[in-house]
Amino acid sequence: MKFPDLPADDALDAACKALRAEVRAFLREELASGDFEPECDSWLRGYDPAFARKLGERGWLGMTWPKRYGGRERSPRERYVVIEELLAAGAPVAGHWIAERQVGSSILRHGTEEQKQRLVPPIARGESIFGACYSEPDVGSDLASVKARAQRIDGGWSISGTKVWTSQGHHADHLFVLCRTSDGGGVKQRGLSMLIVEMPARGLTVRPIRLLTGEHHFNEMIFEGVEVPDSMVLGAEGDGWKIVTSDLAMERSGPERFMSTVPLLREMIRRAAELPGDSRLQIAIGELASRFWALRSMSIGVAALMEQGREPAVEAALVKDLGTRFEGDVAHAARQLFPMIPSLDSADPLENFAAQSILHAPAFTLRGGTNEVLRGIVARGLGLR
Amino acid sequence: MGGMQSGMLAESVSRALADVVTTRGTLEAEARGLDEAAWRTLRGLGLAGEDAASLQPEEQAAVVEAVAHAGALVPYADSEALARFVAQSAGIETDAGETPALALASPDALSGHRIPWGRHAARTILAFAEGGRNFVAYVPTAELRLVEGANLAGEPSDKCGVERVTARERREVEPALSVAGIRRRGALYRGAAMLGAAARANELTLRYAADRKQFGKPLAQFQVIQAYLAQMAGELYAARAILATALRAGEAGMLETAAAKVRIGQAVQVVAALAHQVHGAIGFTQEYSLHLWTRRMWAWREEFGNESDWARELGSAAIALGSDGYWERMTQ
Repeated sequence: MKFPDLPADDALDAACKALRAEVRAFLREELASGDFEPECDSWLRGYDPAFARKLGERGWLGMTWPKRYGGRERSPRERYVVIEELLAAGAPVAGHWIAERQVGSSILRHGTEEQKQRLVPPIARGESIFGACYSEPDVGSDLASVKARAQRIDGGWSISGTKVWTSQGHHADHLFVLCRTSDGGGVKQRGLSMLIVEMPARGLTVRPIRLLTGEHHFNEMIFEGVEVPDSMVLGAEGDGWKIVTSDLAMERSGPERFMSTVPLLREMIRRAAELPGDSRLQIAIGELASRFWALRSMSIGVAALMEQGREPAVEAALVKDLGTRFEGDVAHAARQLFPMIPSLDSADPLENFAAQSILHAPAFTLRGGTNEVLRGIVARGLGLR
Repeated sequence: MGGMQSGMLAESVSRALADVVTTRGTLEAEARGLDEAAWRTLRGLGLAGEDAASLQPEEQAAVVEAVAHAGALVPYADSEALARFVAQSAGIETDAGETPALALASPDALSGHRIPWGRHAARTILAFAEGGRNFVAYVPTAELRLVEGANLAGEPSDKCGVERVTARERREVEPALSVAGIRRRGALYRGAAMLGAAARANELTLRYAADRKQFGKPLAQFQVIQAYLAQMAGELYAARAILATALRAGEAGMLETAAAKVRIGQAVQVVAALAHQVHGAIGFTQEYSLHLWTRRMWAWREEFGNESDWARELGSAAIALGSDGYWERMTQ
């Protein structure tokens, strides 16, 4: 496992500093005008198409993409600055999140020129929402075993099967669908393809999957003969496994893997001033801050490795494992340290954020690759499997 | 450039010590409180005197980590990286041949103070505050009437037997050499040392898990063991990342150093526990070498402030900065 040497880069540091100031100024304005309410887990829950478009207008979506596809050709570290500022503020970034984080890059890597020109710029503008259709009722972690099939038809494919856990599937204008297009000559992975479905699509039914809080972010997507032209296959037939694994690696590496409950941590710091001299509180906040600082250092390290052209799957898995456990610990810390009762109905942000965090905590260590699967990836990386 | 230099230094230290440091030798050295052969070897590499004390913090941390990784019972971090560095910076001359010790204590309030490696030092450097100003001085160690003791790693930790001594060559110094500034530096180097020990314990554990068979297969093939090894890898990555951040922040990085000492202390708790768990009973015998590194991890996390001390400092600072102020500080 390599730890990157972060070479000093004064120009990049200056660019990041200036960018950070811009993003903070924007967020201050937005908060002052009441355009959004800070939330924990905002990258899952905060759906706001107008906000997404504002980000797009400022060139803060698809920042690292080529200019001819709507990007700004900026570095991963600059993108990191924007992402962490948005998450620290609990800003509503859920709509564009999947598209911007992984779909856009996947299309740029595997797509035809026509697909890149048509699908990528709207993502960079904050106008496009993509849903990811990977998991199925019988297939959670073991994606190589997906059952959704695409049958060959004249000029394209017809998809049948059921997908679950598609976030923003009810708002999406396009879907990435991982399905089986052949038996892969006996090797499961080789028979998978990634198909792009334009919404609304005939034969597609979208049903909400409500979380234990009653919230609707996820969906069951039922495909009954949904037709997809050849021009909407991403990469070649049989490339599905390769695409989804590098797609997932990108999904794992970002600061959202440890910042979902940072709005709560920040509120704890704010409120701690009301309890001066509370040694237990100081120590608890210091311990959480130390873990946060280390996670940030690790995550920036992953971005730097990606800048160097590497695909740090093990490092990203480690960040996510440690990060999601940190998120959960923050969720459960506040209630012991402050006199309060967590409640979604409370006007007190501390009680509200605590409730949001606690109720969402079970998801942290499961989504985007369960921590158990991630440890398997690490074990493989260590040469143990 | 700093990275390459550090890497090369660490390499030469590791190679030189590998020939000289053994489990049996280290255990025997504990009775004497010093591995003379290892110490001679390090000094032979030029890592003594002004040259050693003048290394940049990143390079110094790399050497300290390599010495810890080797498990050498030598006072390098305390005598060269700290005591001699402080003396030099204050304008107090030292001989290359002496092994100075350091005490963050006033010459008027020494009783009970523990001095790492004190018994080997002809002179002990003192750093203290008085009337709001910072001072460095030295005392002949004999005047401290040290009572010999040891930390959990068997390293000398000798207690002052007197309350006051006459300080010699008292110099007023800049804030970087205040007690807080030196303590920060000490914590940083202990962090590097803990990382070196943790990395060695991890290597031993990986090798043991690969070689040791039970129920017909190597331990490394059991899923539970794989999860432990993955967890250890995560703790090491976190420790290394936060140490790098703290080193990069330099003298302005009190909070980064606090985060590092806390996080690395947490990491060694996990690494030491899992290393022993994977090793089974052989791991807690004297004969097997694992304890050389787990005892070092357990000893060093207490020194220059433990996790609670530094967490309290970081937590108070965060609270004083406020939510926005803390975020700005962390991202600067």
